[in-house]
Order: sequence, then structure tokens, then C-alpha cells
Amino acid sequence: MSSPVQTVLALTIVALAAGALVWRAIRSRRHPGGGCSGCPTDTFKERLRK
Amino acid sequence: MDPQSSPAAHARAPVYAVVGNPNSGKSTLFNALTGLKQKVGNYPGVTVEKKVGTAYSQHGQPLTVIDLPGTYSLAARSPDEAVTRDVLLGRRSETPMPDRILCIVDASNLERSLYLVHQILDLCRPVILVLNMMDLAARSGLNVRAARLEKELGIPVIPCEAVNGKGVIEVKLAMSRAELPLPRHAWNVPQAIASAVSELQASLADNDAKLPLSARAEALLLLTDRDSIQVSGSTPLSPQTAAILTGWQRRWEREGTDWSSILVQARYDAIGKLTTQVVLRTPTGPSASDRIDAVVTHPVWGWIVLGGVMALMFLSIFTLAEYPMNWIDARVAGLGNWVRHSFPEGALRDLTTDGAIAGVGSVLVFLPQILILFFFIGLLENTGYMARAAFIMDRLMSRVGLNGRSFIPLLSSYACAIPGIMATRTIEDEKDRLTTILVAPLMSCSARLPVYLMMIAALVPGDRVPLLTKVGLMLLMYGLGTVGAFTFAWFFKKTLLKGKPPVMIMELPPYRLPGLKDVGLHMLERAVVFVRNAGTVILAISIVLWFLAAFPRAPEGAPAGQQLADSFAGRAGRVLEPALKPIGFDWRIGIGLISSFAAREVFVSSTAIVFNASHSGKGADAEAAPLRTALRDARWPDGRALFTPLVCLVLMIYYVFAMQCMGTVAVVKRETNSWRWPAFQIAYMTGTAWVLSLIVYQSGRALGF
Repeated sequence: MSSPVQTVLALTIVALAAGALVWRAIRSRRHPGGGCSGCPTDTFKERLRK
Repeated sequence: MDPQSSPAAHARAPVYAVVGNPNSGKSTLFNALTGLKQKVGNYPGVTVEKKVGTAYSQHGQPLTVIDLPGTYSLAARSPDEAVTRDVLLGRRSETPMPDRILCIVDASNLERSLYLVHQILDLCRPVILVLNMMDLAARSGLNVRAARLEKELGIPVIPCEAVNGKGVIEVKLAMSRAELPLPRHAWNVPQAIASAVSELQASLADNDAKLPLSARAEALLLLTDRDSIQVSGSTPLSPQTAAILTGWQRRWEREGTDWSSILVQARYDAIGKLTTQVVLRTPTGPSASDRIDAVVTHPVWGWIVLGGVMALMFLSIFTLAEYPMNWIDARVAGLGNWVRHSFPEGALRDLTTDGAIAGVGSVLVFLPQILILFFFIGLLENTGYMARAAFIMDRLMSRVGLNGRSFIPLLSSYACAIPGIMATRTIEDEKDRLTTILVAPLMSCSARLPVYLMMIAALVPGDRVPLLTKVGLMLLMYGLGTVGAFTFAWFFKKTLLKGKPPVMIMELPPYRLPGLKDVGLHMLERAVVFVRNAGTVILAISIVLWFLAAFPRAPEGAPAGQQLADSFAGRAGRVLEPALKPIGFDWRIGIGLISSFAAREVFVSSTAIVFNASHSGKGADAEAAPLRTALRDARWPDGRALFTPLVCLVLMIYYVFAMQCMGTVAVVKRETNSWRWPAFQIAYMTGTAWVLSLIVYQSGRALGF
């Protein structure tokens, strides 16, 4: 794989990761409590949904 | 109208509400009935949020079960108790009014538990009474005659040991019955207030649209507490009912009648009479629980035991986790090196090795230690020791003006401040609640653990850090956070949030053998959250941080380290450097501080990315260096070592106090319904972190460290 192709792919992944973080930040404004390694809130909510 | 006979009740699955005192085993019974596992704690007040599940009758019919917050009385004093009262009285629009009530009591403490049952029976609704912990009652020399109680109350009474699953089938069978008898509940309302009850009952039915059967219960509730506004809760009384109530209260005050106490006393008299008939006592000496408590709640020995338990926990964290940590570390390094050698040089390969694998791997390494921490927390909760720890801590807490109910939120904050802050809903006093919210994030949460562990590894020169030093440092950090929380609570209660001195009533549950299934489940749950977090948030942050550290590209042939210095991240870090230099941090540490605002453990992954980037340089032959080596090799431009033992200690102290968690800020905003308090919290915590770091760093330098 040539270097420019790698750069394009890498930058696409970076953009996707940044987008995911922004999306998560917006979502967590509506549902605060998710994300911390010690916090059980998310798992409980998911279980209740199931 | 009898809820059983209402058409709506037949159209949908019958709704059961599980009600009981805190720590009566409600959550355990709820789990056993619905198969929906929750966290099962062993200290009072573990259930804060509403939980709903489905149980199945013996004929396979679904039954909706709502687990309500624990309460000692329907005269609610805190927000979570108010939820229980309002659901039972059908005041909450989002929750169906329960058709039937499953009331669970601690059989070893029947007299106290029956107060709530007595109030519930007033509601004139179908009730099943579950006598839980029959084994403990028997061990305490109590013979609780369920059949006699059933005869006296006219409702099904089922002996049970929910924790062992005994009696659960009988509970399900009772729940499966098509018809349940209404309670035969006759007790004499004292003459002095009987007329008031009748008048209020009639007015509540006529003017407040209350069901005729529950109107009497509501009238009695209004007279249970002097603060009738608090008791009437979210639904204000009609002017007519309020006028009757005020009229009677004024009259009693003129006459000097203590109406509230009369009513409570009358209930206890009725309960006392009932328990004499139902409970046979065999005199026994002090129980094993009593003998253990004499030591673990002792003013001196109690602290020594608590210190010993904490030391044992950290000792296990360091010793037991070593092998699995090394294994994960080797696998991560192996994967990084394999990718480095197998793929052609380029941005994608660097992103994979220096970003994704280095970032996620550096955090995943701490999984075994996090699991051991939660194993201990689960074990201590399950055995009943946590309540004892709460008891001895309360002596300290009441001195700083904290409410006894603050203990559970503060204790939960050792795992994570987010559920801790959510648990402050059990605190009735608004000022006490706010004080607890403000100081809860100072307790060292599990996300700080990787930061402490990384700094401890980097702090002591040489490959083998003495075990006692590690344990001592960990105890110091946890102690510092706790002392900090208590000091600030004292300060806030003296200044911003002045209030009445709190009163503490605490129940010490008997010791139990830990349910290993519950502890295992607790650990598994945390492991899933931790790994998912590493695979999502930390992965994404690592990728973005790699980009910020790798772009714009330095010219060909630039010295190692130049790339990072000129990158976006390097420039952002340098903006912070003037504020960080006085506390011994450089701009690269600044990058870690900025990125770890997302979650504290991100500091570890950021450090792995930033310092490996500046340490190893680029090239096909570069190997992934152990993070500890990279940290030890990090230098200031003048050649001085960056991560001296003093700087590592200062970094840990900074993380003890700084508000580095976006999730907590969001929860504080939600719970206080304002941005003012989270902004204040960020300012005071991070300000304190900086000032303390400055004092320690500058003093350390002056002393020659």
C-alpha cells in the first residue's frame, strides 16, 4: 500500500473517530452518566431495555 | 374501587410493587423473581432508581414487578422515599398504580419492619407479606409464626430466605393467585384524632378525587407528620382539605395535643400487640455478629480493621494482578511489533501502532487490577462490612457536618462519582445533598487507579518497586482524597451551605457469607464497561490524539521529538505550559491533562502516545518501548529528567483533586439543574489541585528532591 493511500485512509479513520466522539458528547448531554469505567449506569439501562 | 376488579387491571399484566425497609432483601427477591440481576448491596439504601422487571406466574402469565426504593415509613422525607409513596398512591403518571403489593420484611427485626406494613395495609389493597431472613431470625432465637400472622392480618404471609432462594417459589405461587384477599386490618385510631381522620377522609374523597379506600390512608399520612406539605408531596391539597387540616392542627396546638406522636404511638401499640402474639423469643447470648461488631465498630480497633482491610485490598491489587498484567502487556507489545514489521511504513501503520494499539493497550493492562478492586468492593458490600465501615466513618462525617446518608454516595464514589452523585437523591436536606455532590468526586474513583499505578511504577527508580511503598502510596492517595472531601464538606457547611447539625440513624445488617455469584456478576459488569470503554471512547481519543500529535508533518530528517513539538497537540500543550511549569509539568504532560478531561484513565493512553512518539521516533526498526522506560527517559530541554519521583507524586496529587471528568460534570449539571454548581466544582477542585501541587512541588524542590 503506497504512503499517500495510507495517509488518506488514516485521515478518514481520524475523521470517523472525531465524529464518533462529537456524537457521543451530544448524546451524553441527553443521557449523562455513560462512559466512565466504574459507572454501571449504562449496563443497567441496557438490561432494562432487553 | 378494588384495583383487582378494575377492567384495566385485567387487560394488562398485573403490576406488583416490591416494597420494604432498606436492606430487607428487596433487590435480592426482585432478582430472584425476575431474573433481572441488579447490584445487590448489603448496606441500607442501595436501591435508588426505579427498577422494573417481568416475572412469570405458575401458568406462564407475565407479571410486571416494580422494585421501589427502600423506606421505613410512607411519610417520606427524602426524594427516593417520596417515589415509593407516590407510586403506591398512584400519584406518578409515568408508573402504573400497582395492582398488588409485595411487602418484604426482615423477620429478624419484625417489630420495626411492621410499621411500614401497617401503613401499607391502610391502603386496603391486596398485599402479600414476605418474611425474609427467617434463618437469621431463628439464629437470633426468634420463632416467627407465619401462620398466626396470616390469620391476624388476613393476607398471605410467606416465610422466605431470598438469598438462598428458599421460599421464592411459594412467593411466585402466591403472586399467581387470581384473587388475593384484602387485608383484615383493624386498629384503633386514637379517639383524639379519629374525628379529624374521618373529616379529612371525606374531604379527600370529595374534593381531591382520591379513591375512597385510599382516602383514609392519605388522611392518616397527613396526620403522621407535622410537615403536611412534605407528606402531600407533588399533589397539593385542595383548599377545602387544607382548611380542614389547618383547622384541626390549630385546635390541637391550642389544646396542647401532640397529634403526630399520638398517631405514631398508636401504631406502635398495635404492632407491639401483634408481635407479642406472633413472635416467640428464646433468650440467646450475644450473636456472632454482635461479637464481631464489638471489634469492627470499636472507636480504636474499628479504624485499625478498616486500615487493614484497605491495605489488604491494595496488596492484592498489586500482587495478584502482576501475572495477568504482564501477560496483557506482552500481548499488546507483540501485536504492536507484529503490525510494525508486517505492514509497509506509512500513516496508517503509525495510526495503528502508535495510536490505537498503544493507547488502548496501555489502558487494558489495568483490567486485572480494576477487577480485583471491584471484587473487594463486592465482597465487602455482600458480607455486611460496608455498613460497619459507614458506622465508624460516620463519627468523622458528623464532625464535619455531613449527613449520615452521605456515606453511601461517598462510598459509591470510590468506584465512580457518577452513581455516587445519583445516589445523593436519598439525602432529604438540600444543603446536605449539594455538599455531598460537591465533594463526592474527591473520593478516588477507579478511573484514577491506572493513573496512580502508572505514576507509582514511574516514581521509584529501578525495576522492582518495593511492595510496601506501592501499598503505602495507594493508601496515601485514597486517604488524601477522603480527607480532602471531608475538609471541603466541613468548609462548605460552615460557609456556603450552612445548615442544622445532622442526625444519624443507621442499621447494621447481620454478617452474611458473600454470594459469590453476585460478586462475580458485579466484577463481570465492571469488566464489560471497562473493556467497552477502552474499545470505544479511549480508542477514538487515541486515534484523534495520534493525529494531533503526528500532524502537521515535520520536515524529513527533523530530530526525534521535533515532530511532536510542532504538532497540533504540541502547540496546545505549550499554550498551557506557563501554568504547568510552576508545578513541574511540561507541555507533553499538558496534552495528557487536556485529553484526560474526557475520562481520567485517558491520561495513561495519551501519555503512551505522546511519550512513545517523542521517545522512539519513527522507522521500521523501532520497537514499542515499555511506557515506564519512555517516561524515565523523558527530559526537559536542558537535559533534566522530567518524571522525577517528586513530579510523579505531584501528578498523583493533582489527579486526586482535579475535576477531570466530563461525565461527572454532566451529571452534576443534571442533578443540580444548573451550570453554576458544576462550574464552581471545576473551579474549586482544579484550583485546589493546582495550589496543592504547587506547594508540594516547590517545597520538594526547596528540600532538594
